[in-house]
Amino acid sequence: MASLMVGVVAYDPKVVLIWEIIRDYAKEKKFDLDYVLFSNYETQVQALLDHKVDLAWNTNVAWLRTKKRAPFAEALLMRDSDVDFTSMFIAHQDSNIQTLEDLKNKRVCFGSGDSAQAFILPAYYLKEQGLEPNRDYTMNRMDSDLGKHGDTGRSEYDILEKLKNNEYDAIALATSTWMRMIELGLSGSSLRPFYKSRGYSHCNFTNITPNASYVNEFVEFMLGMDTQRSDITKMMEMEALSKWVITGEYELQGYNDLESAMKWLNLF
Amino acid sequence: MERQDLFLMNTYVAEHTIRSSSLTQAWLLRLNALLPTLRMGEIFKVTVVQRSVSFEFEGWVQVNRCSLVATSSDLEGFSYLVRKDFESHTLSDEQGFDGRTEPALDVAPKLFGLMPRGAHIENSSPLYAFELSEKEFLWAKNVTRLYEEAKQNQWSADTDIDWAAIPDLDPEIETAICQVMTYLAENEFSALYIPGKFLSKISPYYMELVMFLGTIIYDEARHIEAFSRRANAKKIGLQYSTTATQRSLYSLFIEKDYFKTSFLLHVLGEGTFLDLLDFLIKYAPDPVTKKIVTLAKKDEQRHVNYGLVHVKALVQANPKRIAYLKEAVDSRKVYLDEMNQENELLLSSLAILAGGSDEDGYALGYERVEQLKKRMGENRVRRMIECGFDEETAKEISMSHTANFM
Ligand SMILES: [Fe+2]
Ligand SMILES: [Fe+2]
Repeated sequence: MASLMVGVVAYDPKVVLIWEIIRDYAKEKKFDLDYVLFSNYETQVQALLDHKVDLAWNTNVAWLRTKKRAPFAEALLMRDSDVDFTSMFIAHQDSNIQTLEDLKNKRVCFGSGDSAQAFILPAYYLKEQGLEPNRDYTMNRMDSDLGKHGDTGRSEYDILEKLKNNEYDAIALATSTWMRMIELGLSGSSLRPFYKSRGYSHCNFTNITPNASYVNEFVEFMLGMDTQRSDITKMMEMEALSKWVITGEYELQGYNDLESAMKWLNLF
Repeated sequence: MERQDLFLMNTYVAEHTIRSSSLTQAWLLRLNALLPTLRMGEIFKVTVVQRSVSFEFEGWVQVNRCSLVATSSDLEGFSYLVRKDFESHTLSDEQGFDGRTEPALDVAPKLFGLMPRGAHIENSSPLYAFELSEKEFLWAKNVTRLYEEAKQNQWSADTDIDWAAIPDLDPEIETAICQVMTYLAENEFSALYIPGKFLSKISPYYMELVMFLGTIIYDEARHIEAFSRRANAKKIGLQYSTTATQRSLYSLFIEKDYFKTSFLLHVLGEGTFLDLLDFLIKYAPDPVTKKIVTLAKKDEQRHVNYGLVHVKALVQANPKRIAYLKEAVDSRKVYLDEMNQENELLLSSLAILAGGSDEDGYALGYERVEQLKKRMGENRVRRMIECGFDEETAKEISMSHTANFM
């Protein structure tokens, strides 16, 4: 039998290290698993739809695009850190911007157009408050690393610079990115988050062949990883998770906002 | 989820109050550093005085895979109870190094880094794969005491030796001394390199041994220094290295087994050296040289004592290991027998020191060197018997031991 093929987007060199650990571990557990790297999520989704890979490690945007075209697609597993993911809006502390409504008539800059955390959802949160782009506020975007769905975080660092230079009044980014910016000393003393979103779901392992024999095997293998082992813990730290979790009802609901947002922005 | 009761009870193990108006780099470090010190499931309390920090703190909780257990607001500010949801360290339940307690485990833990025994290791720490991780093949019950002795008996080739007091000797005597010193320094290099070769393969879990081997290495460095300086103290200087000595040291250097090496080096080699150093204490022509050799011998005795206790324990646990050690001596002998084993330059120099350079003196010296060799052999046998060898095998091994002494 051929190996179970998992598609993964190479958004960073560490992706190879992560998947080499998983593959070695699978080999040890006599689970026949291999991975294929893609340069972007669009190609990966197409490969999944064409059954060139069995499973894909998808962003939320890639997951919803898959589901749109393969109605039986299912989300199997995610990292615990993919549940209740959040975004933030950041402004200058002295700017009198305290709420989303305060962005009326302001210049807002988002990250990449295919990043749920830095553009699609934050823009949608503004729309929910009745703020339409380029009518109620000026919408700008930095489309860095398109195709990676915001995984690289580059656009978020790019717009941070723009905010610091006062080119914009506010920016949107992932909370995790903001934490990293504080850690790196990039957050600056004059900048403040003034809004944190409700939680939403991020990545998942997507399957489009329901009842395929490998599904249970794969889920069991992933959930059964020995987290006491040095290599597994290392992999988990690189991939920023402490455990794999099954995508259940709650987690699936975490994609609803994004689905609405993508419809509104014609991103399907 | 206002759950006042949780705040009232002692449910949390740590507490912080953030008064700054944002989550600063310093606070982020402090919070990040708190996590590894907590066990999975433990709860800590954080109060933010300024509401503006709430977004960032709640964000930190989510990004760091913790969960909010309860929140509450009061006059002080807004309080959170946060639970850590993952395990980051493997805790050692063993009492760490205190200079007294022995390592408890017979095999060093697989996950163990360059750290003292008793430290808690992070689960994602790399696996070092230290080849030497079995207590039986490393440990000697006197190793901690020997380390203490080593500390107390340090000496310095600068302050303990009065170099200016070396007299001008008869050139033939001085040459003999320089030849002996050259030979000694060669052997000291061997005694430095060999523990060094194994040191990096030993799990730091057996840290007392690692530290003791560290003292051996420094002892040997001091010996190299002192012997080289003695040779170069006067006009004559360092003399000849010989193929016989180098072949003997090489055959020891290439041995890959720690147990075999420990036996060959500490018991047979350095043991034999003790007799040689005694000989030199007796026949060295001047008090300064006598003192150098006396101080070096004290160090060597520690090295031999480690080997004796180490080998004895292994042999007692399984007497078949004697054959294993004999095999090491025999295969070394096969190599050594390819060429003349004796360092004649050394033996002749020893004879001059012990008797003199004139014909009668040299004959007497020669006789004394022959007696030294005999004594060396007897003492080797005695040491092996002390380690649990039967006399017959001990004699066979002693006969096969290198003619180069080390
Ligand atoms: Fe020495
Ligand atoms: Fe020594």
